[in-house]
Amino acid sequence: MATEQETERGRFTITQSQRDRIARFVRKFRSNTKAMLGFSIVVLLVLVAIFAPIIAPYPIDATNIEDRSQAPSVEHPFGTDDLGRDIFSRVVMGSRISLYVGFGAISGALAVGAVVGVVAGYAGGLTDEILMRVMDAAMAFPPVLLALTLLVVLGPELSNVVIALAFVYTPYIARVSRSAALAERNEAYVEAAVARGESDSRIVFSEVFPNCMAPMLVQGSLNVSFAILAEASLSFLGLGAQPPRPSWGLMINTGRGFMETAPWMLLFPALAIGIAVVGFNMLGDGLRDVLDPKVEAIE
Amino acid sequence: MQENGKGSDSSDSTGDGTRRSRFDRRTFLGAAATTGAVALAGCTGGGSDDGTTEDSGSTDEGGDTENTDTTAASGGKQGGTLQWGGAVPVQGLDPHIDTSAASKRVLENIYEEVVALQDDYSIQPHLAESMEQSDDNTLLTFNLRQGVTFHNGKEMTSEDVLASYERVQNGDYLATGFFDYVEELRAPDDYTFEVQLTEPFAPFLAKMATAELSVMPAENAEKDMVEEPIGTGPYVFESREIETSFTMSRNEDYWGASDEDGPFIDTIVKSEVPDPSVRLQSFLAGEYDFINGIAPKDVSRVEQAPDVRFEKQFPKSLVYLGLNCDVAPFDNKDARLALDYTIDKEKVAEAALYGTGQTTASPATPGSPWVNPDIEPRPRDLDKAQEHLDAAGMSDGFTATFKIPQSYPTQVQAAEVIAADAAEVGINLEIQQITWSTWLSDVYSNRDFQATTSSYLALWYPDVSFYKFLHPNGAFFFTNWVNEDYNALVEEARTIYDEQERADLYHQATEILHEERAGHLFLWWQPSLYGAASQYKGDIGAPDGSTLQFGDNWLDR
Repeated sequence: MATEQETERGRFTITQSQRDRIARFVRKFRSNTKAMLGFSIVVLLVLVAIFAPIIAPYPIDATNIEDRSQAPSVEHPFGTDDLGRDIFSRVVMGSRISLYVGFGAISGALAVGAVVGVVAGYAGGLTDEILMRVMDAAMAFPPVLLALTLLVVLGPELSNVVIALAFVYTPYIARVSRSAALAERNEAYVEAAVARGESDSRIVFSEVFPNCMAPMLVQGSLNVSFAILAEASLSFLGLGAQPPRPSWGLMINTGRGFMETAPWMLLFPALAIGIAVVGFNMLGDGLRDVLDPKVEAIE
Repeated sequence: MQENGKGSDSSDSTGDGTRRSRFDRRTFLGAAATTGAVALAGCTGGGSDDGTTEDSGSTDEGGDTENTDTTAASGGKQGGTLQWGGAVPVQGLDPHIDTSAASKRVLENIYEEVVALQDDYSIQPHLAESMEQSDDNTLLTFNLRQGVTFHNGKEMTSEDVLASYERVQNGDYLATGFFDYVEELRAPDDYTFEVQLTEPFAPFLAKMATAELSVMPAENAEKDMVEEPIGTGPYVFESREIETSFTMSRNEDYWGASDEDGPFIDTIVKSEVPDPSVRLQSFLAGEYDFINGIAPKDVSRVEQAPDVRFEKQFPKSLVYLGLNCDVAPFDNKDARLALDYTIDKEKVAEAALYGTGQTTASPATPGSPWVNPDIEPRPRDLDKAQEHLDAAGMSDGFTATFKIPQSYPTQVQAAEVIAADAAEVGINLEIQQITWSTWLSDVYSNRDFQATTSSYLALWYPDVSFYKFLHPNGAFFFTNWVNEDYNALVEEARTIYDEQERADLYHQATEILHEERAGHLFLWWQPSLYGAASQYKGDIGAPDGSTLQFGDNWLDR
């Protein structure tokens, strides 16, 4: 894909070569078990999140002290928590928070990071130096620690978690897109565009950018899993989602105190996080296998 | 209120172990010895029966869970090392400065005061042999005990007492404000100490019974801050490693030592184990003889554990919902009332305390004469809540932030139940978990909040309950609720010594708190919860409900 040449017109109508490319992608994707498994998990998660209110059998905030800390049963497949709320319903609704933060933060990071990276990579020189040193500086902090600091300043709220994590993951995206742009810069189609007298911004955004999408997509989907994990950690520490929101991290925090008496309070949200993280990781890994021509060469 | 209280208490007492009779461990006054059999948990003042009845009920029911011997009275075995798994690390070691309950828990055994609180909440001479109050209640004369020595071997005289008091009077210490009512402190001879008040001021004597007026050697009283505590108490400070451990040993020369009342245990080692799960786990594994700060949710585990004593001392502290009466929406009395009517207090207390506490509409200690028996928490009534919302001009409800200190899981649990209840009439309380230091800076110091939760410790004397938190001049006033009638009542109560007369004023004050829906919406009284190995004998706790006195405790092994 990266070596494919594209004419300007070709991007607006699907040409034969593009159709071939898509078909090849789909074929390779489908034959890659890791990618397919990750993809299925992610699709399942998205479906659960979309239909959460229909799937969840109980209202998530309805406390019922008489039924507190009940072990899993037919009425409550995942048991109930310390305030008698149905854990299954809360885990299901919690998928919305995880996906909202995961997708939200990484979309933000992609929007900023990709532009910064591609511009830096294409422009080179001083622009590259400045942009990338700023990114390096931001990257020098451990992600969760940086997000934690930002949240102390911004205040503990879910929307702020998205902003903080978007900020934290921006340099990771920027780095990947810069190296992709660096490789593209010397491609013949770029030279051709320069020869045609296209403006720099047009070359960057219309020619180079689309060709850097593959590594960004891989990095993005990997980072979604990190962001989901980070949200759980932040909520666990009390700086993310606030009660009574059914954030998985928050549920684990509460459940920690009941580890010996009601382990299901901890177990099911932890499993949910595990599944989500593994899903996005496998999808990312799989995408890399499918999209990276070097990996293909080895195979 | 009393009905409610009893109801909830007896329902939980089916399995809450035994709260045994508490013996007056500092009794050397023949007269005071009669306080001996006052039951621990209720600790009612003024002969009210309510508290003691609750206790005897639970004593019967809990008898099978542990040894119910009354060892403290028959004397204990000397020696041994008590391994104590402590909940909150010891902070400062200067009793006149440090406010933390964790410090007070250890200092209570090292320092002593001129007078001491008893289990029935009366105040008796302690380092004094006797005391006299002049007829106009302005002159307090204490005849100090002879032969009391400090841990450094020096004898305690009136010079030390005077120096300790002058330190507080002239410095900037916790009790300094109380000296506004002191005209003069005098030490006419080696064993006499006099306090001349400018006007009758009842809380002064109560203050004298707290660590804020502990007696220290004169040379220590000259220091701005004491780092190595030297007192007269049954235990001597040995060493401490900050946030790791604190060690004290038996005072061989304790003035009050006896075969009946100890001190018995040679060494007490407090290991700092702040995580409640780790603490409980280690205790159940036999690593500690004693732990404090058991979470209410873990009570049933402790009760069911073999060879373990579960002890509950009620009450320890009052938890309340604080509403800022200076900013919208809670500057509106109807908005406060609307919220009040949405909350099911029994459910909230049950959710957080698993039946170990009781609800209240009064800031006064349950069972004390200061509790107004006619005032009860408002029952949940959504129609009335809606009426008040309409009256406030907020028919559709309102939104407010709800700042909760996250280090108190019981308060977080309560907040979730309250928020869920309030949401039903459109009152949207947005919970924000904050750290304790943020609570102190934002909520308490800057009063930057709409709604919050917090708690008070040690409310055994009514001035704390009614003045410190609720009077604009009180040391811990922050909800901005001001009512002139209320202020006049609690100011007057400070000058009155007659219990009945004083109680009347506090009853009226409670009525105003309730009718005007003060910024403090009381949620519940909660106990101190302890676990001890079965070889650990003697009564656990102290009359104030939150500290510990190890003097008459012993180890049977």
